[in-house]
Amino acid sequence: MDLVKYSVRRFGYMIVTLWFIITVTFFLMHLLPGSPLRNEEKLPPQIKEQILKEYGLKDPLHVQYFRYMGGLLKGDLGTSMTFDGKKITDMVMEGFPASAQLGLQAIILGCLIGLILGVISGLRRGSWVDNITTVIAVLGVSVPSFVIAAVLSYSLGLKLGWFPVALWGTFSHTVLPTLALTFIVIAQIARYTRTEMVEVLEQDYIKTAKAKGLARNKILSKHALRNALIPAVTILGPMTVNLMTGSMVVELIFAIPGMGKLFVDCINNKDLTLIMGTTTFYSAFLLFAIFIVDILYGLIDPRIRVAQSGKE
Amino acid sequence: MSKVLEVKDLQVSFKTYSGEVHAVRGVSFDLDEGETIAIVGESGCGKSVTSQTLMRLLPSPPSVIKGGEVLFDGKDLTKVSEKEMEKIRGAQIAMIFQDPMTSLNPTLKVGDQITEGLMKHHKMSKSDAKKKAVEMLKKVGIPSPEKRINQYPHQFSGGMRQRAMIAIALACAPKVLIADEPTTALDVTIQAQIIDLMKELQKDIKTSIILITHDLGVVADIAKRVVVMYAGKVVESGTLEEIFYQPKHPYTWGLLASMPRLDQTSDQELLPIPGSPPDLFKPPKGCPFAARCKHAMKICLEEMPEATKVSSTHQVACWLEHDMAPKVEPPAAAVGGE
Amino acid sequence: MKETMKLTPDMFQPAEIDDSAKNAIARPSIGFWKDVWRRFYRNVGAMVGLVLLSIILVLTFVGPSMGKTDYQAQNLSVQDQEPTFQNMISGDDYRFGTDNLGRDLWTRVWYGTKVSLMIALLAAILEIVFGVTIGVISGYFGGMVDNILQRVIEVLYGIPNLIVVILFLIIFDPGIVPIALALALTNWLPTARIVRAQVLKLKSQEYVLAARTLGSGHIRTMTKHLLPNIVSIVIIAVMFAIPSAIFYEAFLSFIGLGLRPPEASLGVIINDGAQNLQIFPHELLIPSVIIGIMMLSFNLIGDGLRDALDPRMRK
Repeated sequence: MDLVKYSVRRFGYMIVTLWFIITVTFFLMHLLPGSPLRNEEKLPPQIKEQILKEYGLKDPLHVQYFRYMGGLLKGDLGTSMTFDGKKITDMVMEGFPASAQLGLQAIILGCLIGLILGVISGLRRGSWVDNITTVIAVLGVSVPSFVIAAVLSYSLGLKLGWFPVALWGTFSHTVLPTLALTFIVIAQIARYTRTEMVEVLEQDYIKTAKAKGLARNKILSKHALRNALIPAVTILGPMTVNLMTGSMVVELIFAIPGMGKLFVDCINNKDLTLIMGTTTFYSAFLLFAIFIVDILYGLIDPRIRVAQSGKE
Repeated sequence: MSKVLEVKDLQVSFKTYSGEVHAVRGVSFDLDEGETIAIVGESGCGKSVTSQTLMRLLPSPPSVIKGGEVLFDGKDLTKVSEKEMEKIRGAQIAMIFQDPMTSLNPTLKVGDQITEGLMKHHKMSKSDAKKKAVEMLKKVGIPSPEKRINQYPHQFSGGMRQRAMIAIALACAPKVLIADEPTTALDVTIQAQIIDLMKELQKDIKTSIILITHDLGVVADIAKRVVVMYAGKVVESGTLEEIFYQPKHPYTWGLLASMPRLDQTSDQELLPIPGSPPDLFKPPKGCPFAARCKHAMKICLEEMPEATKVSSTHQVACWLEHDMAPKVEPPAAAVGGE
Repeated sequence: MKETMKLTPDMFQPAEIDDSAKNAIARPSIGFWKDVWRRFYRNVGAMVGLVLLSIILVLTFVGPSMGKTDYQAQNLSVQDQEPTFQNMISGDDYRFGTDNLGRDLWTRVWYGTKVSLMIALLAAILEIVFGVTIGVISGYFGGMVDNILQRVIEVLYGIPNLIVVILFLIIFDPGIVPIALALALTNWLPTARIVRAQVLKLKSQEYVLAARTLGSGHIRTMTKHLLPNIVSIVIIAVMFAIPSAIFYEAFLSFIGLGLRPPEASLGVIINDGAQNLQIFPHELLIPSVIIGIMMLSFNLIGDGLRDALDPRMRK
């Protein structure tokens, strides 16, 4: 099985899963008891009727379903019920850049620090770097993102006044939320890299390299690091999911007009079409991210890239 | 013939959480130019530790060289600096390991794994090293080597990987090749091929070989001299003929009796050695084999016997060699009887 | 060398060797659970976690009765009172201060901790029940059953947990049971996988085959021989499921899918506190510290147990 075939199959899986999620979400949202306009109980019946008709909510369910799916194919996520008929696609596109920037900054910073910490502590078990890494790794999985965000906002933002604590605009606005998000990335990458490093150093091929007379640095850079870092790519997928939960909280605390805040707002407003739209977008995004990570892994690990072809 | 390598009273321990494990307790042997010797013994007898200590491959801690010398090229390898050791490893003394599935780096091309050593020790350019790598792969019998050097280990079968390992080890034409159970993980049919290949290349490159194994069949095939180890000590050593036809130590008898041989009559059974080796965490003060020995005497439990010379090449460490000891004949199963 | 002992013919008489000593092992042998406890006991982190968790557990029971009012009583004359160290010790006034409705934070926090723990425990139990049942069935029966279950699990694995939890709670209004159920619904998959793998491994071992040939039935074989062997995995899974559930409960409250007032959990209290963070940080910091300590303790204990139960997994 070569990589192209593998990618195509994974892509197929992704599409089926996505379709499944969208369909389930659609029917669940429409089967919910009560009118989608539940927040507007006071409206006169004729106007209510009028609104329902305008949004096509009077049509049979299957008609609505196919219209919705058709819209999705054209990139139309539907229309919000609470924001005066605003296009959901537009709303998502307004929020996405901020979230994406935060996420990317957090991943890049977190990977850098996490890899360095992980490699050093894997090489020097029991050293002070290793102890710090252990503490960070344990705290990273123990302290919820909202606590970190709140503490950062209060200390570095409010008390010390180094960075703005809310809103969006300049780079300095991104500092605190990025730090809050990156913590979990550092923790996970460092912990994972350390484990891999320790494992790789015990492998026979490291002994082979040593028996060849290679210097320690060469053994580490050419033989150990490479093999330790390849599996680290696999946690980038789950990491994206973590960042998503993190971004909802962080955007809420720092009042950032991103995807996370949009999603939380629509849950609180019970805006069903907006929930459907954002869920669809989130699912597509996540599935795509995991798909990309899978393919990336195949690209850098020769055991997958050129699997089986020359074996006797 | 001159000696390439001389091991004198080597002692190696491992420090563990609960104390010291004395893995190698005074091992001595030597190796002539172009000669093949075999170190045999059960698993855990210290043969692998000995061989890895020769190249200082064991991480320290936990391993510690407690004493003894490894003389090579006028130097004591237990004392030279790590930098100097790097120049010896791969260039002068090379090693192949037991499991070809794990001893090649899965993410590097086989060719790169051969050229590494050449570029380091012989200061070859990348393209020269590559040519040499192709040549080596051809030498170890891998078909279409030009294509193969650009493949990854997982594209090789087990036997081919071991051939590639041999190519890596012999690329720099080392004076000594240490082969640590090179055939144990392979199919029986491939085992013979690998042994034949090693014999062939030895003539070609004029390397001395130290073969570590528990398989006496392999020993008979390739070795000129045999060192029998038990519980971190050498219990008997001699030429192949001496060990196979005039074994003196009850442990050697046991080893031979547990091995199938061609001249065996059908009603002879293979005899296992009952019991298991002592825990080297707390080695016995007497002969380590005494507890499993049919002929054990009181003295055996009290004191370790000294090595006795049977002939100029044959030595054995057993109290049965003492004048006061009763005469004991080796069992028929061990020496191949009527 | 050491030619100290004088050799006599007597010493060359056959020695009497105790046959049983041939196979004796020099190191003392220790029973499995005793060994587990020994390793766990030596793990400093795990012991710290155990102590911290015990303190919190005790406080969830005695804490609420030590406060001034119950967890939902409002007193608008003492809104947003900040805690002082003296009050915290003496209990003369509100130990942890009050929130913006003048409710006693001390009582609320410990009551909320209890609710959060209950949700987490329930979620972990449900998750283990789902996961172990499906895993054992899948692994034990194999063949067709296994095939179908594995395909289903594969599809479910593709669905992001967060989406499932959120949709579930939009449909069923949040309460202790729905939240626990939603969390269990998404987290049983990995447990089922590990358990299945373990069962497959154990199934091929001889003592299970021996039990089958001796005529023990499916149910008996499963409960008597397989379950004890997967206990270790389950214990470890529970220890890591609980902190994850505590986190998710708080997270859900934070995004507005938590318990409804006047019900309180740590997540609800943290969410309330976040509104006031800039002026009265204690309303957020106190419950945050508690939740942090709690998750830390569970993680430390979980790490310790994993190392103790399976030394091979030790990092």
